[in-house]
Amino acid sequence: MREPCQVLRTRSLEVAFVLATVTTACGTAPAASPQTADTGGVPADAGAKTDAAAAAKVVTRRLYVFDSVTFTRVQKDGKAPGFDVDGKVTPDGDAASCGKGDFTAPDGQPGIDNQFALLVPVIEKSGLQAFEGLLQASIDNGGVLLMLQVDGLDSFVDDTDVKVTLRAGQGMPLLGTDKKLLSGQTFHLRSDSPEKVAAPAVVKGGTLDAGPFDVDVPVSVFGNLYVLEVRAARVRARLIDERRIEAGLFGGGITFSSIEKIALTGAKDQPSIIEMVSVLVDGMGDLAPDAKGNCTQISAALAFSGVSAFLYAEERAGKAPTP
Amino acid sequence: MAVPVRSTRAADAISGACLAVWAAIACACSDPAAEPAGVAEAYPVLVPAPPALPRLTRAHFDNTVVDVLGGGLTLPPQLEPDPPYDELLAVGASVAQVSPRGVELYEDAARSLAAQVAAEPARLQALLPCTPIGPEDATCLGAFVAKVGRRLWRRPLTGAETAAIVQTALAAGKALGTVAHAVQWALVPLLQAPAFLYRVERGEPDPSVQGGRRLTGLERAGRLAFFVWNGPPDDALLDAAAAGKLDDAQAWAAEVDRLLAAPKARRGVRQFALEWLQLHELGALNKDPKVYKHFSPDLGASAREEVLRRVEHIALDQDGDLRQLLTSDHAFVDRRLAAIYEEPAVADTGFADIALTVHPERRGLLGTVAFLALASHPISTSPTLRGMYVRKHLLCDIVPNPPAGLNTALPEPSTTAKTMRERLQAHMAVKSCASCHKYLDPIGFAFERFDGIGRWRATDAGTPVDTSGRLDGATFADLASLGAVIAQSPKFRRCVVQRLYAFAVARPVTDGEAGEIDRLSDTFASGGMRLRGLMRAVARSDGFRRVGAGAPTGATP
Repeated sequence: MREPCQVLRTRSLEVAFVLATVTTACGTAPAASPQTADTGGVPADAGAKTDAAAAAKVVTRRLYVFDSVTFTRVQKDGKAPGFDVDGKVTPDGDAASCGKGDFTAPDGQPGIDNQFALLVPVIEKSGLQAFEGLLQASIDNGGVLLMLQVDGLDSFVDDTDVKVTLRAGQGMPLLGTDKKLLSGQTFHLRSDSPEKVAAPAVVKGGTLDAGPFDVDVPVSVFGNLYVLEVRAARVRARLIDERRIEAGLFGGGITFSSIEKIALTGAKDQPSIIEMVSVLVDGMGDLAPDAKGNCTQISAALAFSGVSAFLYAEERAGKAPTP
Repeated sequence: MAVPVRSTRAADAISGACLAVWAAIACACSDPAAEPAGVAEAYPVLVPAPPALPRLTRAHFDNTVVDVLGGGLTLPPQLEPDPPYDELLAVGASVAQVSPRGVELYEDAARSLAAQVAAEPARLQALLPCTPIGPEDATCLGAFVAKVGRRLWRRPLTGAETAAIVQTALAAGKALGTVAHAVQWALVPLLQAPAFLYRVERGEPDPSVQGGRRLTGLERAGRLAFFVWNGPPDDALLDAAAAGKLDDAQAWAAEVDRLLAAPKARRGVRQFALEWLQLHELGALNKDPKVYKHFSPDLGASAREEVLRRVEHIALDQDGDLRQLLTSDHAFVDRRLAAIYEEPAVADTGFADIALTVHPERRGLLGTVAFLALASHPISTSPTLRGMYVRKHLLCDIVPNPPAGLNTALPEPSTTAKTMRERLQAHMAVKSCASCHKYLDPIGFAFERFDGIGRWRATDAGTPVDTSGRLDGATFADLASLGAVIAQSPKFRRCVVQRLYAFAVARPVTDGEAGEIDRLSDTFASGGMRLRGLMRAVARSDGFRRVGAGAPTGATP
């Protein structure tokens, strides 16, 4: 029989992991562009890209699955990656952000909302250092398969009219010799996969930017299903080629209500964990204040990379995304 | 005029004399009159090859055990290996000697299989033609030996042979007290006898050719079954042979068609493809995991299965033109192969036939992981190995080994030679290397858009890949067009025939059979290059039926 503290530790790990994952998770909604023929994730003429000039020219739909996700942290210089979720630059905080100041991104962009980055070291000091490893393990075993679907992609460099959808897959992944998800593999779509288009979305200078959009992200951890509600979510990633995306960021505001549900589901027999989660997030909210001025969301951002993927034909054909 | 079949073998012994050999090849290729399809010509008279003594290959052994003793037995983990000769395992088994260790392995296998059979009452009952009244029932044991022995040895046992085995079985039955033990010790000698392990093909006088010889009906039945079924003849074929019916051309043709129509013909087609295309080598496929992230220990097996299914599909499901093997825009893939091809998989498990849409130049055998990975180094592609594969296995050209002591290492990448093509061109500055490389590398450059495991790539060392080249005077732009060039080559057609013929007779093809190969090549062409039709033609050919005078050559029991 396990010791109580061991149970607590495991539960804490699970909850923290889910919260973190949730932050990462999938977005809503894909939708194939009505003008774009559904090639089922297959580039129509990828084989024709045989020289450098042609390499930038690509067509139609691409699907990337997140093969690595990590939590963003506040850097030593005080900067933090993330997004300007509320559209305001308030370095010292204001009432709308419950007094929480914005960060500056490593690239110098001001107004970055990422309060969760402050929590990461706290969580780590709570003995939950393994949670990123758990997150990666859940990716590798198919528990967390977040996919970025890009429709109408005509160029990896500049494209002002693309549609981006975050989707959730399932299935046992094939791993490469580096123990990470193999590119080019095929997955099933979760029945509860988000299906909303993240608009607007553009590619500029090889970087894809999408959002804001609201999304509920389903995540399976240790057999439990959790749903993370992310509001005003954004995605940014560097499109390397048809096989890879790198330097990805996914962030937005996570609702406290979904965090509480996760805590109640994941640690329903562990009041101390629920209390810990409550303490952790209660004073950290920085978005969407209610009538009483209490913030109901916490900003967060996750870093990710991704590799190309496909969906099985029945999933490609069966689900009709709605914008 | 055709390239001689055996005379070129002499080139094997020539080291450093590539130029002469290649000059001969080039001459044959550029001869516009070479093997015009459908044009009747006088073929050189067949000089039947001397008798051979092919040993059962590993596949023959296993299939015989399954067909005669039933499925579900644990087959021996190791037997005498089948060394390829003339690029075929079946031919190697007719020339290689069995080592002392191999003899021990056959003995161990016989004992193990016999013990397994004896331990299963239901299997025992199915094999026994009678109900023994006890472990010393000589009559019933004799009937068992006669029945099972005929299937295993592909001929009826003589009275003396049966009596000797029954004697052993009776002694075991008496000492150990059970029928099972008696049967077990009847099987042990049956399963390690030379008559089981070797296909004895001595022949008999041929009444249709004065002074000529032909295989006996039973010998021909065995040859046909191992060719078409990759296993032993069934009772019907043995009955027909024993009754002398196989000497009648029509009856023989009917038996050939019966075997070709049976499900077991898939075994024969698959085994031929396995040997011809060197797919057995994929079992040992190894790649540097740091270079090839898509590699896995089971990739070789998947890659092999893909090609076997394609050949099977073309030859038997479609009865189609074998040139599709080089030009098809479809592939049988499992989930891992689909990932390498960057195509959507069809199911979580198993193989499915998909259309290749992503990389249009990936076509046919030459676009498969099987070929692209097999003919590469563990850490890189190899235009030389890929070109050599095409020369040796698809065109049946002779490719001499490099002269002893020649430094075959490629120059390391440099500022002036970054890509594989540039490095090989630098390598060809060495005259002794250039003499062979110039016949191999220009073919292999066609595949440089596919890495050492078969994944597509647009560049090599950051430079767009140039896949153009020439093969025997024909130009090509990339893999797909090279496949089309090979498919149209008379040398490819003749190579298929030559390999299939050698596979069928399970021995080296001789110079005296060159006319037979030519005739079959023309038959193959006029029949739309259908493998099933070619198998039929080979089985009905004089070369398959007749045998030369003299003692068996090659392997000895």
